[in-house]
Amino acid sequence: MDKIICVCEDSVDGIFTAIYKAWEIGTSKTLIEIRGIKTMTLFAEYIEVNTDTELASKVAASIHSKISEEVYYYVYRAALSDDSDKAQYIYEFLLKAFRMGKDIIHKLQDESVMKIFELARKVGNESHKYLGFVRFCELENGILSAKINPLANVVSIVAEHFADRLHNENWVILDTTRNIAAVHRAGYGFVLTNDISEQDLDQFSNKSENEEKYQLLWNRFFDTIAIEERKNKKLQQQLMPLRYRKYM
Amino acid sequence: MVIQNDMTTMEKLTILSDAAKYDVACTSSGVDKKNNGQGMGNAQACGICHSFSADGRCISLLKILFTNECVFDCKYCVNRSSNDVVRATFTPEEVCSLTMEFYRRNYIEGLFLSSGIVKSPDNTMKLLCETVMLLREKYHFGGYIHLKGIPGASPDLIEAAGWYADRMSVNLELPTADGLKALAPHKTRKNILTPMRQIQNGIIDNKNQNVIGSNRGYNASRNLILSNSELNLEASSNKQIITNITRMDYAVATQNKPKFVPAGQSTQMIIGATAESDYQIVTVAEALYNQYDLKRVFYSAFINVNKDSTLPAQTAGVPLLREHRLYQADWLLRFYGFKSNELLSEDKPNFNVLLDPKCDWAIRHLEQFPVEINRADYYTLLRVPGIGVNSAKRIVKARRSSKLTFEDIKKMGVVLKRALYFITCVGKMMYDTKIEENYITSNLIGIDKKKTFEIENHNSYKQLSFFDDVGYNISPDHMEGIKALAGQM
Repeated sequence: MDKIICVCEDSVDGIFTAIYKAWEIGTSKTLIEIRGIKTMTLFAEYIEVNTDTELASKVAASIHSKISEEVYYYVYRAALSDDSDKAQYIYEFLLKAFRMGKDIIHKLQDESVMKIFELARKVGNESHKYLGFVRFCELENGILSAKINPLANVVSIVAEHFADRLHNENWVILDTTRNIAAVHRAGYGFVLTNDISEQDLDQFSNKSENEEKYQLLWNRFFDTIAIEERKNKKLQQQLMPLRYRKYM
Repeated sequence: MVIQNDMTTMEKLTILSDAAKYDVACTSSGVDKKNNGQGMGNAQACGICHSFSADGRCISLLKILFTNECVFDCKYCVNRSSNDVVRATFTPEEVCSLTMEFYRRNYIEGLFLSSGIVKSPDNTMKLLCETVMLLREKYHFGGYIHLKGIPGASPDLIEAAGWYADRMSVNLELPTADGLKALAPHKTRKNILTPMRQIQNGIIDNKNQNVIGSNRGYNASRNLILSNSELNLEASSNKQIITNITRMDYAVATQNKPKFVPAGQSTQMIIGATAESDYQIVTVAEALYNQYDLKRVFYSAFINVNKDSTLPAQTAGVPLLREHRLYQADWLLRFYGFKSNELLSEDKPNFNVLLDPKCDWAIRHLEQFPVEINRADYYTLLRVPGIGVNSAKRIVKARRSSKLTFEDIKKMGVVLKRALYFITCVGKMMYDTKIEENYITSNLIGIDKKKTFEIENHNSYKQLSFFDDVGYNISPDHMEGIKALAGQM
């Protein structure tokens, strides 16, 4: 029998909605794919799944209550990954997880567990690097503005960190690969906004009076702090790969 | 001595960061704290690297000296009083605005403030205290502060600093008292160990204290810094969102009870300036961990910056491989349950150049191998070359549900090309290998040769980073990395 492929939006809610639908249809005959990433196959039936936050939160809630917080943490992070097969991996993993319960996360000899573990770790590593490598630039109205170009969709993780750290600042972090921005108003939380391009942001990007000065000071510090006798560019690049430096 | 006035911030920063670069510790780890809601900043126990300098070292903190004027004349130090270098001094306000502006732009995790000894140790310590007080109370900085304890400063001032810093460090400088006497005539072992002990006791007391007790200590210290001080804590600009901060607010907001050096203390030793053996150094480090509860001991490969004729000439370059081996051994002491006398002895006082300390140990104890992956306890697994903290933990958890194969443990991060001589899976070794000293040694040296060469010729020497996974070839995952760094294992 042909498989039924549920095609969904590339978001946590999108994937969770598709899992709900696929479950309803029957787990033995369904697969899940992210929209627009994979080539369509001939011998399969395709169903378009529209993201439904209510259904998605039902799935999230049952992961929390029937499996564990920890499993939710891994699945959530895996869902942010840039892997083209992630939706199917998460689906397979959750089918097992609902059967086996919270201890599944330690069963790394199982291929689908290992897969989720790796995806989550990769997303975690990238977002952790960005916590350090994000560079804010002060605009003339005092707003701090930053751009990142991550592989995975880490802007929400990164923004959460800065919402606490720079609580009393107005700031925006734009993911230029996805055109998603996290916007934070001083004293409040942050919101994610879609469809903001780099050009949109650049329109309001007149630097503040002091910005240049502090950038120069920082560059000087960066140069003088290195020890000539220990110079090692290869190591520097290994720890801070070039792709992170685009907006540094 | 050249003392210039009217320098720009840029000039001062150039001189005072250049003068601070030989200090090793740039970690921002060991404490988790939220923003207090009133100022700027928080801290993550895992520490965050904000950049990597051209030597591959992590930049996490704004590492500067308050001043490079110094009345001491330590032979190894670029700032010694007998050197004819340009001297500069920051004002507390300058340090604060640099820290705040860098922090806002996410260049740094916080401030690492050290200093030359200007006039006297007490005078210097007071200046450092005033600066961090200003940063905390006027600028409401909630990020990470690492402060140097100045040897010879009065206990009151050391304590005062402890209420404002997250981490403090008093540098041991040289592994033995004799070395110190020879190279740092103005410092004594006693002057270094006394504040170290005091900080240790302060941390313990603070843990047992209630809110009232801690506040009493905190307030007394605060008054001490403010006495005879021209410090102005009034916020000058109207940009500050918060105005009427009462003096208790900072303490109250940071988890109700003032914390004394919450990220613990560290120290550093210079390696290769004096004739100590690796065994002596490792024994000293072990004693510091056990008797002084240090979070970290850092090792700094000696660089003869002063070209001082009484110090080693360094024709062979900076002793980076030795430093690397010491860090590997340090890791074994802290996380792998090794004792210094297992790694080295009076008869074998130095590390093997060709093999890392763990492989070296394993080869000398072949009678304890092979171990069975599906049965051996956690600490036994940790002693196998090629198995690190993360992979050992994963194995222990995963084997509960089913027997593990070589393929499985490889995916979990075990480096099989090292481990295969020392383990069995379900009773079988991976290949039909001999468990024989010479055979295994030559195979393992083959694996390490390239790396050892690269470190010695400093090509791709992997600097100890936050994730300190050097030599174990397993990149810790994020959460476990966090624990490793915070010393929570």
